[in-house]
Amino acid sequence: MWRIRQSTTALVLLLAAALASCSRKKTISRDDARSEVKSAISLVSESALFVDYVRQGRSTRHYADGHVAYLEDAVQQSLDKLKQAEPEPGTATAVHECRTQLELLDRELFGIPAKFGHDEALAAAKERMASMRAGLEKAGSSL
Amino acid sequence: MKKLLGLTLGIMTALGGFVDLGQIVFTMQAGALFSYQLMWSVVLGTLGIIVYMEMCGRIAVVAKEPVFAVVRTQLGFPLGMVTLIASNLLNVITCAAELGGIAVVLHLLTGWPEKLLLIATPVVLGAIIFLLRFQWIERTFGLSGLTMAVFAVSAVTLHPDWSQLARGLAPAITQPDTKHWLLYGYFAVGIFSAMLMEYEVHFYSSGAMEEDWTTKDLGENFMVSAFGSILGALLTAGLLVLGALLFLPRGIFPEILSSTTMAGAFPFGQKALVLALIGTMACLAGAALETGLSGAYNLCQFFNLAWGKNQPAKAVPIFTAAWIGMFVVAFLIAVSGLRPLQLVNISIIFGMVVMPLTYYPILKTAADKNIMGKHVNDRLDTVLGTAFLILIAIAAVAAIPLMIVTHSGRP
Repeated sequence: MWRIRQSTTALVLLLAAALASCSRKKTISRDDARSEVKSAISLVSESALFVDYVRQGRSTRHYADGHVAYLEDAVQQSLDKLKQAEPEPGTATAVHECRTQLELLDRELFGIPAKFGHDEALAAAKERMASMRAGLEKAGSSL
Repeated sequence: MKKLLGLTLGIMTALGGFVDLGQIVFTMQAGALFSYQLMWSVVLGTLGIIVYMEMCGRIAVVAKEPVFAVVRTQLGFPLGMVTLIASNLLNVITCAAELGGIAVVLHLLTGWPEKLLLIATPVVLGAIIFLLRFQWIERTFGLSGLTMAVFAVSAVTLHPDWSQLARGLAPAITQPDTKHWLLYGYFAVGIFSAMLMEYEVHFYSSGAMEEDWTTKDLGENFMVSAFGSILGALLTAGLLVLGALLFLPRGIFPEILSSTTMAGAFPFGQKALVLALIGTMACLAGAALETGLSGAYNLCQFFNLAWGKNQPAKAVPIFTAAWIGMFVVAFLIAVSGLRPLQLVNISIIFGMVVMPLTYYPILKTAADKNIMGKHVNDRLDTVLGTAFLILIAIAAVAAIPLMIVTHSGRP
């Protein structure tokens, strides 16, 4: 009887330890941080390329609406990943900057459909994207 | 005219195989990372698939044996069974990815809700299989897939550096660091694997039997496999060039299907974008049909059951139930929320791992004089087949470790 109780306690402790290790935040290493910044730069550049494409009247409305939603989705995924992880010492500033710029990009993309057909508004959005990219490049160079 | 239409089996097989969801995104990513440096991998994959498509077509005609009957005979029941399970698992995962991709493209074309389109897609594809004869399926998807040519035209219009492109025909590493090396290896294996996906030979050999090819058609067999594969390869090269010209200079690593379709029509206007979307949809639909039907072909051929798309459904009940089952399972995977590109990454790399088990039996049978008689492999066929089998085996061993260390190709 005592032995069964001991085994049950050991099993419960083992399960608790496993659950605790699962719930612990993942760490972002320097390499991961570099990769995340690169991915953020890619998303910003992709968004800027898309804005250009729309400005030149080469996109259909359905495509533009759909593509901007997919870009937003990708930005959200990157943000979720960053929020769920703990930066390694020495990478915190760059990771924070990456998150900030991605949040800005998310907001920018959300407003893009309302700007379709308004060239000046789209041009301004593209400029803001350029400064997001500059911020990300600076963060990347610090890693 | 009939001979020209006969080419559509090769075109559909190659377009559905080469230019499916995985290949479109994967190849553009390779171009965005390594410019033209992986062009050799496209060429190597093309030569490999021509050699093996021709062999399996020849076996189907001469020995009246489709690929999975050959697999069972050459590998024996236990290992053959492992190959069957692995191949059909890959077929269903690829089919799920293609269904998801078709819903995305249709959403971009029409603006209709993606979930609704995801439900409609397998229903429409199932109806197409029910209603059309095999020849009309291959003609419809082979010919409509040709609208993908807009990708190649875009690539040429953007003025690639031809001499640099030619230098990409030989493997070369420009940066010495290990991470770059490993990524390069991962993408080389991925492109090679995507061009030799097993379902291409499953579908092609079954198609040759569906169309009742005879030994008189053997000349056509080579022409069909070579023409279809070269066409697919040119489009794949176009994707690589677009990645190199549009994405690399801007630091973009494309991870969304909609980005790649934009690249396919980039220098042109809205009509070209619609054409690129239609072409992409046709290729993805072709791949979904190929994988769905291949699942049923494999199962019936392995267990020696009646099969054939052109047979009445009642005459081939297990075959009919199997392809419907493939679409149902693929749909359930696609609707579960797994992203099409995640699925396709899995299928490309794991496809490479089990590839030797499909290609070895084909080579062994095609080189067997007792089975093939005067149509047995000549020395060149066997040398090329063996060389490609060795390459396939090396890539199979390297595939999973490369996937792990590169985090599935993340730069």
